[in-house]
Amino acid sequence: MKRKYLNTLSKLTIVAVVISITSCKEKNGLAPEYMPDMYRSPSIETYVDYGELRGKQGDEQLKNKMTARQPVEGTIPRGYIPYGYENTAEGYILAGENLKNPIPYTEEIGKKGKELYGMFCVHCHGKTGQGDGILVEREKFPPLPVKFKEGLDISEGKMFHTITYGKGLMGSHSSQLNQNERWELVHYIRTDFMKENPNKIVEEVTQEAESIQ
Amino acid sequence: MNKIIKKVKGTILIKMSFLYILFLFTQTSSYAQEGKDLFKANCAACHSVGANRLVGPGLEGVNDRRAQEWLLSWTKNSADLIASGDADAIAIFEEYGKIPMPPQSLSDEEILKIFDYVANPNAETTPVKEDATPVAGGEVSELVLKGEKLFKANCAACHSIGDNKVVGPGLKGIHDRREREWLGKWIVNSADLIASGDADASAIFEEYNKVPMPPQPVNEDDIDAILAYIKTPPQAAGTAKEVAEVATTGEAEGDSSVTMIILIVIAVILAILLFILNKSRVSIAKLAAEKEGVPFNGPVSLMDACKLIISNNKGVVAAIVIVLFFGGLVKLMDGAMVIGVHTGYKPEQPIKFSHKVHAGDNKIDCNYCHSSARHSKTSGIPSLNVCMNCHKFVDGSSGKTFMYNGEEYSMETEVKKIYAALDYDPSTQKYGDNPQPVKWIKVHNLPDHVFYSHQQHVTVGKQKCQTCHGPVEEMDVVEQYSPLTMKWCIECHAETGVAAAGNGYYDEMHSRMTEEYKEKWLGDDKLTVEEIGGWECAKCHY
Repeated sequence: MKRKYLNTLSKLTIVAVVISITSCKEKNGLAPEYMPDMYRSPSIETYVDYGELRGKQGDEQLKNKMTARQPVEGTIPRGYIPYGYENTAEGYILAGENLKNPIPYTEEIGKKGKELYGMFCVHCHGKTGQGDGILVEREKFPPLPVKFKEGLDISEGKMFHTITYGKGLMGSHSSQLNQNERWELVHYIRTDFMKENPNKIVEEVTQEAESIQ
Repeated sequence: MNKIIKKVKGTILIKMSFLYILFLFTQTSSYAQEGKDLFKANCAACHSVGANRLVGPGLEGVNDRRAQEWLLSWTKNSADLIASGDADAIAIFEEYGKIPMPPQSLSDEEILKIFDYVANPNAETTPVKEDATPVAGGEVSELVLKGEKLFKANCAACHSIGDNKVVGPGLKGIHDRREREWLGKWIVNSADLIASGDADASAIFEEYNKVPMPPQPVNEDDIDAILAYIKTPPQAAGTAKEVAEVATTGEAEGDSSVTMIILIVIAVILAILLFILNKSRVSIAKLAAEKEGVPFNGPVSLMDACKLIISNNKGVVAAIVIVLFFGGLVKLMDGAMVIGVHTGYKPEQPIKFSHKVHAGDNKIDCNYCHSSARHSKTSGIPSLNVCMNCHKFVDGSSGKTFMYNGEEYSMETEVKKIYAALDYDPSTQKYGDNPQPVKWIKVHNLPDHVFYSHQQHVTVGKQKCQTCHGPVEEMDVVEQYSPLTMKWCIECHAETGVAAAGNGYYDEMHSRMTEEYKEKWLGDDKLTVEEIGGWECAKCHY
């Protein structure tokens, strides 16, 4: 009786050891999942292939249809103001003449602009705006033709247009920066690098108003 | 007689000129040597001649980055230059944690020698052979060098010297396609040439969507130099060397399968040894029994021997079994704790995107590509147009390679995968109408029953990406760094302070609090996430 008990105990031990050894991590370190529908549910989550959802395996029609899809043509995000200038040389000139920064400058805006500059511009345009960012320094990119400095003859409308559509080697940054952020950037570049008076336009307007009076 | 004199004069002349060249050569090399010694004595503690940063910046190419005058005044007294308001000087000062470079007591000449050495640090190991070649050859290469400098500063942003379009057309073979005079006019002012009704000029203008080439501030000599450079660009020896270096580093690698094979071989040898030993034991025991005249009745087979040992030592066997049993139980429980915790999950992606190269070496901010982390629930896998902001130009044609998961990959093939996914043709710079999504493999996956928002943590909480994702800038393959378990979440919530300062919402809420709660929550200096409800079930589970 005792011997039989000992026998089952030893067999159990062997099974336990074998399981614990074989239950190592799967390929690439993905751990085992128990009841995986708690982790990967059939509901539509961001960046999931419709065709490879659980329970719908092998749905050829839905394959390659990502949940991150382009919105219906003509869709406008909330708070978005349509941008009326075309991505052409004429559009660039028109934007330069007519487009003005709609956000009044405050120190807060300047700070935000600086933060954004550090995220989106600094690796090419450089910390001082002289086009000597790390990508230029490491010779991944040629030196930039534009150096932000006092008296640079590029109007704020042109700057906004350039961030929106890109120009020359610079690509469009409209998918990464919303319109407000673009204007904040323009504010920062003009006040910090180009030493422009940020309230110039406001002053001009008040002067005009005074002269009319 | 005259002939002989002439001959003698000739040989003397040749000898003299030879001596003179030798003299020049030793002069230059000793000049470089002096610069090297000065550099080692005064600069090498903080600067390298390469691109790498030590205490101060690496000085490779510093002569191109800065004017000679600037270098002189900086080296002599950097503090003065900073005080004078020089933008470059201040930028360096800020970049290096406001630690000024100590003033160097060197003469102008000595400083120039140092920078000569920095410009060409390998000068004495590879003696310049140009002295021996005719003077004309030297001049040409000088012209090409000048042209290269000018080209990189003025043209390279829009033109390549190959066939490929960048913004404007590739300039390979341009001197065959156009007259030199035409090129001069075009470069100095293309608009005038177009206005004059030149057919070629208007054709190009039309081809490039009426975007004119801006007038370039160069003179005729500069244009000659640039054209000379385009005609015979110097071979890029540096890249070949780089590739070779990378290739050699990729070899030494331990293989786990080799150790496995060794272990198996050892086990087999031990088993054979055991078998042989048992055989000899039996034969020795039989011999001993024969000698004593007693019949041998001990265990013969290995199995029987083991059984005998076990039945003679029941206590020990029981102890071993009990230890193994409970050890196994503990192992099992540990294994159960790992279920669903994918720490270290490290899948290889379809495009071998190295975060180490992008975020580490090139210091591109995380937010540049993951731009939606600031505004939405997910950090966002960047769409390919973000890749194209750089890789439209950086196409890997320089033959550069990089390491990914311990293997070497060519940058060109990986960038071509982006082009293929976008159905983009780099030669015409046009996008086709059959793009395919890149099937990136999701690394971080939170269970469906928990809500997590990047915006809350990145924008409001001002947390760094690395707090949860670990040092991504050092990983070539991204792996899950944190366990992403609930324990991990709430432990962080219990100790992390809220960025409440200057946030109008918290100012208002705190002013409305009764004294009792003020004491309870704001008694200590720190307001943690837990204290504002970061441990409420329904904050994350709803």
